[in-house]
Amino acid sequence: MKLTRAVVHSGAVALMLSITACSTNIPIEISQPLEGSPGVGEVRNHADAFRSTRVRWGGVILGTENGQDTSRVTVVAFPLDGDGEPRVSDQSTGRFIAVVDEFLEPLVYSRDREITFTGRVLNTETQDVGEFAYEYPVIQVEQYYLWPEKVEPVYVDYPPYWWYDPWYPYYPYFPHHHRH
Amino acid sequence: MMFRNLYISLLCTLLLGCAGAPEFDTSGVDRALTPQSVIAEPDLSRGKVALWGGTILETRNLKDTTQIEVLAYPLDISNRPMLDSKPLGRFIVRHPGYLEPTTYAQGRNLTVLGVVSGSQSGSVGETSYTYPLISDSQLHLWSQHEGSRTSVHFGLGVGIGL
Repeated sequence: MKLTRAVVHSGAVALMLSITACSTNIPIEISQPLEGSPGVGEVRNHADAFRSTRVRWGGVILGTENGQDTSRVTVVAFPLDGDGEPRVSDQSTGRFIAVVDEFLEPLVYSRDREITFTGRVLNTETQDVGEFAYEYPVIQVEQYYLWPEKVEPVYVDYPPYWWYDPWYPYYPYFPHHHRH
Repeated sequence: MMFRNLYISLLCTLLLGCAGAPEFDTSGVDRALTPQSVIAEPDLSRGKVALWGGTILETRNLKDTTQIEVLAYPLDISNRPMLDSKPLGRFIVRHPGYLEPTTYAQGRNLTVLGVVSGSQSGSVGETSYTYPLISDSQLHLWSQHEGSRTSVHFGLGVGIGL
């Protein structure tokens, strides 16, 4: 009986933990695959054919510019993983510009942050990267999600235990004399 | 049966994890060729096949090519630049088309197989500098997390049992 109850309890705790883990505010449009979303490269090469097509793209922010009523985010795109998060690698799928109809704080939507959008293809726009005339697909954003900054893991080399306490192995048996 | 599949996929993952070193076709490579030796004898070096590597100093996107300026180092057995060694001079990789400069970023390490195609003058600070040019046929960007040293250590231990 007791055992069953313990099992039920641990199950409930596990369930609560997993619910907490999932309860982020990622819009469902971002976390679910968008069927028929063309790639960044496809749209760059055939912009007219994809005008108004819905896309779900993401990547690493290069910069955010604030216009009068809009913000334009320039992104280096990467394939998205199962949750819609960009999988950053050396194989970028190209650059694109995302137009959002609101103010995005450029200090937050800043270089190197990861972001995913859904939206519709507007057109393409040519801007120079160095001297190369780069054709950026431009999308009108519907939903967006800025991924939390990843904290770099810190590896600490702890000194061996005897560094702290030279008597460690004898500790339980070693009488401590309090001098008074 | 299920476990067997699991085992096989696990094994594949492990194998993939180790497949870091790229294959270069080193058959025509002149191993004696360095950026310094090319600058010393430009006419003799032109057309020779080089396998060079080093750290990216700058990536410039030109109208229809990308130029990567690299500080060369000697290569180790897997053709990875050894950054602890003395640098061998600078060179420029000329790649047709566009390469993403945020990927081919300053500080990344690469190895390139290609043909020595000439030289280009530039400057480092106020010193004029002649860069050997190499037209790449294979370009490998090393992962940011793999250093030039192996992280596996072999040790020999002696135990005493009482």
